Amino acid sequence: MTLASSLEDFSLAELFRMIDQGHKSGRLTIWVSANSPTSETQTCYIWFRQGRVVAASDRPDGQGLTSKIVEKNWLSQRVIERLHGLSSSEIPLGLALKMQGALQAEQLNWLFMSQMQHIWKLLEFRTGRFDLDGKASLPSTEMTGLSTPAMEVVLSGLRTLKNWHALADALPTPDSAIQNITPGQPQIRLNAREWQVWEFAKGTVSLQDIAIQLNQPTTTIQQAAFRLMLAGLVEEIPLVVCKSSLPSPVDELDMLAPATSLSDLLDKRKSETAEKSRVSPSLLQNLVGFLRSKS
Amino acid sequence: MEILRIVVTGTVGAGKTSFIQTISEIEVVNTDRRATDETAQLKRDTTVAFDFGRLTISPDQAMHLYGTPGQSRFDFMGDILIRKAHAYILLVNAHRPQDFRDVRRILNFMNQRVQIPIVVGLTHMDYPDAWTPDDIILALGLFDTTRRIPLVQVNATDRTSVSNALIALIHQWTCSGFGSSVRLR
Ligand SMILES: Nc1nc2c(ncn2[C@@H]2O[C@H](COP(=O)(O)OP(=O)(O)O)[C@@H](O)[C@H]2O)c(=O)[nH]1
Ligand SMILES: [Mg+2]
Repeated sequence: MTLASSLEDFSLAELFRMIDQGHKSGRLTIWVSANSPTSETQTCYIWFRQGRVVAASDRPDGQGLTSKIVEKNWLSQRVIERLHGLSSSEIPLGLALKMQGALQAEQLNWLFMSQMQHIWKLLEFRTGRFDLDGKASLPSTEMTGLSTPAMEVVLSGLRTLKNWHALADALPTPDSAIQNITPGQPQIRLNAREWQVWEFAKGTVSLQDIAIQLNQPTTTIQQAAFRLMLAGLVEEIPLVVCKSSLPSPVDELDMLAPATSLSDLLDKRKSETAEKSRVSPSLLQNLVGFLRSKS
Repeated sequence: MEILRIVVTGTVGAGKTSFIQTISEIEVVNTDRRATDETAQLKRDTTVAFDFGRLTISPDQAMHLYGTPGQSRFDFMGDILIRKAHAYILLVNAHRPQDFRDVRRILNFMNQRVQIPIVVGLTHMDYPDAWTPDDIILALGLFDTTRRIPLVQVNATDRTSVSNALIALIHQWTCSGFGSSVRLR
């Protein structure tokens, strides 16, 4: 079973949260086109193991990592192939080269970061599609041996994201509040802005009011709140003005029940608009029996 | 007359009207289209239209179903409706991931406002591109133990399926201690 959608319908950021929280593994394929009709479609691949990003590449042939190493003039393609051939094929290429002393830890870090930068660029694309194949195997030739939780990858990307166009619909709305949903202090590393916004996560203050209190643009606060949502720390809570002075639509509908008159209803409304009647166990039991017999 | 009030909510096209129509013994009445003299006075102040259906269980017991209109996100949630409903069913169209964000907001909203039984009903599961229940649980953030809500698959146009969804809702109710316990055979 694959997990697929257009990027307009479901953002990459939200997908990464799902992958992280669902500890998903497999290969994510993303087809994006720049926001102009003439531009070509690019295809990108990201691999996950248990909710962690293990590799990313824009090549289908498994040669992305090798070409980066060659480009940096660290090793030749021939040497890479020979050294990788000496170790078991399941061992990530980066790790194999490091074990043989051909690459240093900092070089692996650089290679992994350049794969992450690839992912961060994808966050800006508004149009495209994705498809997560949970059965795909992991490509050792694209892997450095390093990995990071999908959530951290996306949080880092969003902290420096310039163009938030693609996420406009995903952001919490300015008149919503945020509510803390974790017990205690966040375990994840937050930046200063996120901490400030987190202090307001009590489900009562709208994001636009937080913006006023912190003297920041509302979009800045929405973006920080969105990152807290992706981190699984808060949920968006719509704030709705209380409309309890309006007549109840339920009262109106009660007239459709047999044997009720308008005057009855109006009287009743005065006395107990807000009261919810109790339901007896016998009703529930009879209803279940009724539904079973009629279905 | 003892009345059980169930609110059927969800995004546009999820199957709310069908759900009520499938189980109701009367033609579903949309209150917006009812403009008799009797209702006129109340209607003047009432801005939203509801689908209404009914099922008579016994001479003095009935279930009423109220389908919320799908307009902008939260206008449908009048405070009084919230206080009067005994239970909710939230329908989610499983092949429209673009709706999942709004569903998540609705769940958060209700979670904060009311302590009444709720089940999430996944409709349109027969579509080939429908997301799996497991993925929808993740997308809605329902895997968390504090926010766990029962999920049922339901075809809103099928009577047995709708009955089973309602039975699941009552089951959730009696198991979660909202009502007195009921023996479910
Ligand atoms: N294939 C399929 N169609 C469904 C299902 N549930 C509802 N529908 C159809 O979806 C459409 C929208 O349903 P409707 O009840 O009007 O949605 P509402 O906007 O929530 O009231 C109708 O054509 C229904 O027949 C389902 O589970 N599977
Ligand atoms: Mg409808």
